[in-house]
Amino acid sequence: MTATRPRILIVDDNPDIHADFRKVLATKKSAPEIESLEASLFGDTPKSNISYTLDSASQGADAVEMVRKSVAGADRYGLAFVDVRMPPGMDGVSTIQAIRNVDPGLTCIICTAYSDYTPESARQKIGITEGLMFISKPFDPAIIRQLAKKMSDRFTETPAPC
Amino acid sequence: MNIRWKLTILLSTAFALFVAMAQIIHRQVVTPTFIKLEQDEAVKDMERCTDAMHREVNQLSIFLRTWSAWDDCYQFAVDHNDAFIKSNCPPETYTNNNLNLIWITDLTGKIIWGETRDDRDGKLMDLGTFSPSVLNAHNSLVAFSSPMDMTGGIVMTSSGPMYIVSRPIVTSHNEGPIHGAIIMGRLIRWEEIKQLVDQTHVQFAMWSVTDPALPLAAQQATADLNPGAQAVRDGGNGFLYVYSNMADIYGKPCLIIRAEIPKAISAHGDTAGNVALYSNIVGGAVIMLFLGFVLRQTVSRPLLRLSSHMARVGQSDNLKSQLNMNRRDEIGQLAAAFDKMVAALFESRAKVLKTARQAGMAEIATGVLHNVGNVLNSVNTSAVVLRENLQNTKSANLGKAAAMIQEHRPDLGEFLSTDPKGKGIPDYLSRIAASIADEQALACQELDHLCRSVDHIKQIVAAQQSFAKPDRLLEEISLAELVEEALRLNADSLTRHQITVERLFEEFPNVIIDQHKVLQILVNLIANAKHAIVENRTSEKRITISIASARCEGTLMSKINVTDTGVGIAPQAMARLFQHGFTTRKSGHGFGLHAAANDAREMGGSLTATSGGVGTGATFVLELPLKPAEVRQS
Repeated sequence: MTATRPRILIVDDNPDIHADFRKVLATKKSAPEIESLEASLFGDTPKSNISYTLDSASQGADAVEMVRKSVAGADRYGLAFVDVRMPPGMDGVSTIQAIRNVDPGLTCIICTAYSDYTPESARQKIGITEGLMFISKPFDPAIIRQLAKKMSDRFTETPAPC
Repeated sequence: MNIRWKLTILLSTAFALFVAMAQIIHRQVVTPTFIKLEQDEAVKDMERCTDAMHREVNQLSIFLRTWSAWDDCYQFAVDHNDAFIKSNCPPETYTNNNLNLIWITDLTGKIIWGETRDDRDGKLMDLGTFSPSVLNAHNSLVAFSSPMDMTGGIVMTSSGPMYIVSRPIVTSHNEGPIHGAIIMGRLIRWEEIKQLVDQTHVQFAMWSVTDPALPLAAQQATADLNPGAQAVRDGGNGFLYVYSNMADIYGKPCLIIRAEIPKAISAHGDTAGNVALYSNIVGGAVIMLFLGFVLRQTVSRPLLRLSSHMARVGQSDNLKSQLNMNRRDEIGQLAAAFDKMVAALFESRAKVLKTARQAGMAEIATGVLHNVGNVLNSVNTSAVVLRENLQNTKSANLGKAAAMIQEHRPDLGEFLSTDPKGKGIPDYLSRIAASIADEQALACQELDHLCRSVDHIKQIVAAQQSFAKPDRLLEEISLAELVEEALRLNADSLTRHQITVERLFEEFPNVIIDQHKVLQILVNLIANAKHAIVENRTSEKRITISIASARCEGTLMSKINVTDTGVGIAPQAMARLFQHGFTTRKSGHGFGLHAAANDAREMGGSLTATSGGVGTGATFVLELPLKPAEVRQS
């Protein structure tokens, strides 16, 4: 993995949530000296780590703008985690609607503690059923990683056109 | 207009119409009938009078017959002997039989014998215009063709109208040949006729057609009148005048008779009409008063009670008030239905109140869920990171290194200095120590974060508890009062920091809104303004609060501006101002503005901020709808 690391967009008005995502999806701090020493001393093999490029947007409008830029720069996001309540701007469902207009293929995950929408009403409003998932906060870091991994696998199978 | 007045006017109108109709019927139908009756009676009176005159003529004619069909008279007509006159025609004959004229003529109309005398004293009298010279062979008084013929009627003389009868002179056996005619006359004595007429109260007057004393009215009334016919005229003085025109024996009008009859019948009719009218008025008034009283007792008073009760309930909103009208009629049913409805309304309102309270509590729960959920996410993440750190700790391999050292205990120096693995151990140990220190620092950091998050949850719960007022209902309130309430809640700290408050309140109608939410927002904004001012260390410590109206997308909104002279907001901070957890204060939790903006949106309004930058103060603008919006969505 070099310049084309999978990109993930996090849209939430709460900076703590951004920090949480970064912690969960962070690349393990590499300590190559220790690992090589351990390999020579105990014969352990070092694990490989996937790393992601994480972008943050605190408002829906910013997020839409970032997706627009990513499409223009041919460096699309593979995944977007979107909160529902983000005052004072538009809410998450409206944000996803706008994002899907710019990048219809972007998988969006509604990530909320409490939603004013039921999954059905949100799907109805956005008008799609594909590439839309719901996870609730507090989220399970393992699921976040799994989702990112799944996206990453798809990403490496079919690399974004350059 | 109330029902009582309506009923009164209606009844009065109906009554007036009834009286007017009665009057019209009386005038159009009854009175003419009376007048007709009266005129018929008057005509009858006149006929009685003329009949009496005709009777007089008849009687005179019958008397004349005893003379005309008498052999002695017949003899006289033949031989003109004096003896007949001497024995039969002395003045006594005139006085005894009320005669004024006896003429015996031959067939040419020449008088054989004749005298005119006063019938009271038997003295000779002159009848002037009616003299024997008027007679000739063709005169109807002389010219008879059969022995049974006769002529009778009235003639005009200088002494007044006179009954005149004439018969041919025949034998006692009514045989001819006719040798002449015998004529007798009697002046009409008016008083006698009056006696003959039964109707004593009827006044008669009589004029000759040539009489200069004939009144103009009589002349006009009889001008075109056929002889024997009657004309009726209203004298205008309470009397009816009936005119009759009598012809003389030649068929020419000679006598005008006027009967003067008091209009007793129509007067009675009028009286009857008036009595009917007055009795109608009195009776109607009594009925109307009675009806009015009954209506008042049975309809208008209970209705008034009902309507004032309804108005009172509407004004006071006291849904516990009941009418309890004990009536079985429609008004009673209406009152009972109203009581029932009010009771039902009371119940349903209580139900709505309960529901609203539950909804309010659900709203609080939602808020807590949203905010706590966010923080719990951090807690969870920190916990997972800590666990993974512990699981992946480098210290796990430390045991292996320790075992290696233990194994080479006898030749440890050699092992560490010459063995390729042993040479790496000191380096590994020092690196592992550094790594463990790093891990520990990271763990401390995460634990610290965990503690802060838990603290944050406590704060959220505490803040939400302060919202959890029992009555979170939409109420009609004055924004000015609400601002004053918010200022009162901040009064202590405002006074302590010597901050002046300027109020620019426009006259504004009351709004219907969740006042606890608005109060919470206002308290927050004022507290923020105070903090900003204190931090600015400026001499000008002022908060300006204005209430005005604003038009937003065509809807009228209320607009509350809270302007301070505080530190202001840096442009880069402006974007994150309303984000959850954003704060510039050390003691702040970044919850206030976030919640305030959320609440403002939920109420259908907005909370925005403007600032010229650091040190220039800030203005927070709270826009709220005048009435709750239909859709409440964040």
